Amino acid sequence: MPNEQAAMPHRPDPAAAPAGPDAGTAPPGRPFSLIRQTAMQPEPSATQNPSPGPAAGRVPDENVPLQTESRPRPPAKLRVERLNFYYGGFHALHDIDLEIPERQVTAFIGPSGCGKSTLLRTFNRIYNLYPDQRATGRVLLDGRDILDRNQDLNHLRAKVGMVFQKPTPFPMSVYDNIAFGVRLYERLSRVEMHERVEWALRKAALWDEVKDKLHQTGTQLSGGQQQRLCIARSIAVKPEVLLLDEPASALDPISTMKIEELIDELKTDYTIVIVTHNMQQAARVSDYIAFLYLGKLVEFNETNIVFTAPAKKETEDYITGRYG
Amino acid sequence: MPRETLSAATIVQDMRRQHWLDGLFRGLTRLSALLVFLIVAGILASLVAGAWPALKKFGLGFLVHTDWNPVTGQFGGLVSIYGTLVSSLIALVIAVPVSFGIAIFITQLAPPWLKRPVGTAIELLAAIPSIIYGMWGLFVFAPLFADHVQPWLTEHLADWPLLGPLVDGPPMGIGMFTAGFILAIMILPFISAVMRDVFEVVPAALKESTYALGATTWEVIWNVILPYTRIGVVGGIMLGLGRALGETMAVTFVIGNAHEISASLFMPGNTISSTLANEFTEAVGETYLSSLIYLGLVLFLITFIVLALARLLLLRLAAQEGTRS
Repeated sequence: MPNEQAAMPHRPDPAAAPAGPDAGTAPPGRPFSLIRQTAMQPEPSATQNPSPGPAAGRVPDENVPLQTESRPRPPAKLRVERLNFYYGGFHALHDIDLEIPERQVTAFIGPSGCGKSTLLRTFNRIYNLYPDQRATGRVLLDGRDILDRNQDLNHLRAKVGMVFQKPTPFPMSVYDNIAFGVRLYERLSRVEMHERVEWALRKAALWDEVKDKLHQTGTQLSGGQQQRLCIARSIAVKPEVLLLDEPASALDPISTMKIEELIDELKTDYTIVIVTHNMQQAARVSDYIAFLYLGKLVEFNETNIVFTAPAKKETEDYITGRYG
Repeated sequence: MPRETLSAATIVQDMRRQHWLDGLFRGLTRLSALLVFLIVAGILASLVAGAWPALKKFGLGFLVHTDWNPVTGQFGGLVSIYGTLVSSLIALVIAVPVSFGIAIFITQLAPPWLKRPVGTAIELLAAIPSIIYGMWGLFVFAPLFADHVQPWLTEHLADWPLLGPLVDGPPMGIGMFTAGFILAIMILPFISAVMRDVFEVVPAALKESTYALGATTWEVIWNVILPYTRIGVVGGIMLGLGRALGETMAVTFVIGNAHEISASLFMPGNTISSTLANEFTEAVGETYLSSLIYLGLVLFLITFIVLALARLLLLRLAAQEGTRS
C-alpha cells in the first residue's frame, strides 16, 4: 500500500460538522411506513418547514445555494454537477445535479434501469474497472472533484465505502474479512486490530452473533449476517461516506429490518447513500430522496415532502405504484 | 393418432417400454463409470505382473539403487526417478509463475482487443505435438544454452555456496535444465488455461467489493481472487505436473539419456519415460524387461501420489480456513 495512506482514515473535521441544528439526529417526523407517514403529517405546513428547531427559519446558508427553497439543510458532503454517464455508446445519466447532505441518509429511487445504481457507482468510481464506462461532469467530495484524472482511487475508496446488493464475504475468516480492509491502510498492533474488528462488528450489530466464530469462514454465515459482515467491513476502514446498493434486496424480512436499524444508527457518523427498489424502505430509512427516471434526476427533496407532496407528476406516479 | 384410440393397454405397454429403456440407459452410464475403475485396475495389474521378476529380484531396493547395468543384470531406478522428479520440478518452477501471469493478464488486465489473440496463442501452444518441442529444444535451445546461458551462469554463480554446483560442468546444452525448460513451455498452456477459466468465474461483485475497499489490483488478485479459486489453481498445476511427469518425446530429445545423477542441472540425465522409450526395443532378458516395467509402475505410482498429495493439500487448506459446518 502507498504509505501516504498510512494516516488514513480520519474522521470528518468537527468544524465541518453539520450546520443544521439537529442534522445528526433523525427529524422528529421521520416516517416508519408510507401509510403512517401520510397519516401523521397531513398538514401542508409540515412540508414547508419540516426541520423544526431554533434555526429552522429562513436562515440563508451559503453551503446550500440554488435550492428551490432555502431550508436549513446540512452541508453537502457530495455535490454532483452536470454529471453524464456512458456505458460505451449508451448514455445512462443525463446532466445530473445533486447535493448529498452530510450525515443524512439519502435514498435513490426509481424504476429499474433509471440509473440510480449507476449514479451511486460514480461516487467511488468503481465503474473505472470497466474500460467502456465513463463519466463526464463533476462529483465533488468535500469540494474536491473525484472524477479528476489524478484522483487516487484507493484513497477515494478509503473515504467512500460501498456495500453491494448480494453479500460478498471474502474467502477468508470472519475476523480477516474485517481486518483485510483495515490492513490496507493502517498498521495496527494485534490488540488494536482486535479492538477495531470488535468495534466494527458491534457497530454492524453482528458481534454477539459471530464472536464465537471469528475464525470460521465468512461464507458460512447466513445471508443476513454476511451482509452485515460486509457493512462491518466497510465501516472498519472508517470511511466518511457509505454507499449501499440495494443492501437488503436479497435478504429475508428480519435481516432487512436489522439492516435498516443499522442504517439508522450509522447515520450519526456517516453520510449514507442507499439505492433501493422498495418504497417502504426508502420511506423508513431515508431523510432525503432522489427520484431518477430514464437517467434524469426528476426530483430531490426531503423524504417527507417527496412522499406527501411530490412536486412532479412522475414522482407521484412512481411512489403510488403506478409504474416501476 | 387420435387420443381416444389410446387404450389403457397401449399406455401400460408404452410405459413398460420406457421403463425398460430408462433402465438400459442407467445401466449403460453405470457401465461407463465402472469402466474407469476396470481400466485403472487392469493397467495396475498388468504392470505389477510384468514387473514381477524384477520386483522379486530387487524388491523396494530398486527405488534407491543407481546401478543400471544390462551387462551384469543389475538394475536400480533411482537415476530415472530422480530425473523425472527434478525435470518436472524445474518445469513447475518456471511454468507456474508464468502461467499465473498469463492468466491474470488475460482475465484482469488485458484490454479487450488483446484478450482473444493471447488466449488463442496459448491454445495453439497446447496443440503443438511434443516431438516438435523436442526437435526445437534440441536444435534451438540446446545450442543456445551451451553457448550463452550456461557459460554465463557458470561464470557468475560458480563461487556461490549452493548455486555453484547446480551450474557446474561442461556446457553441452542438453541435460536436466533444458528438459525442464522445454517441459515448462509444454505445460504452460494447460496451467494457464485452467487458471484463466477459474479466474474468469470469480463473481464481479466480489472483485468490485474488494476494489471498493480501496484494494489495489495486486491485493485483489492475491487476497481474494487466488484464495477464491485455489482449488482450480491447484488442479491446473497438478494437470501440468501430471503431463510433465509423463512427457516422453520432447524430454528424450534434450535430456541426454545418461544413467547418472549429477548435482549440476546442466548435466545429462534421464527420466523414467525417456528410459522406457530408449530401451524397450533393446531390452533382452526377463530381468531387463521387467525392470523397465517396474519403472513404469513407479511412474504410475508417482502420478498417483502427486494427485493424492494435491487432494490432501486442498483438504488441509479447507481445514485451516475454518471448521466446516
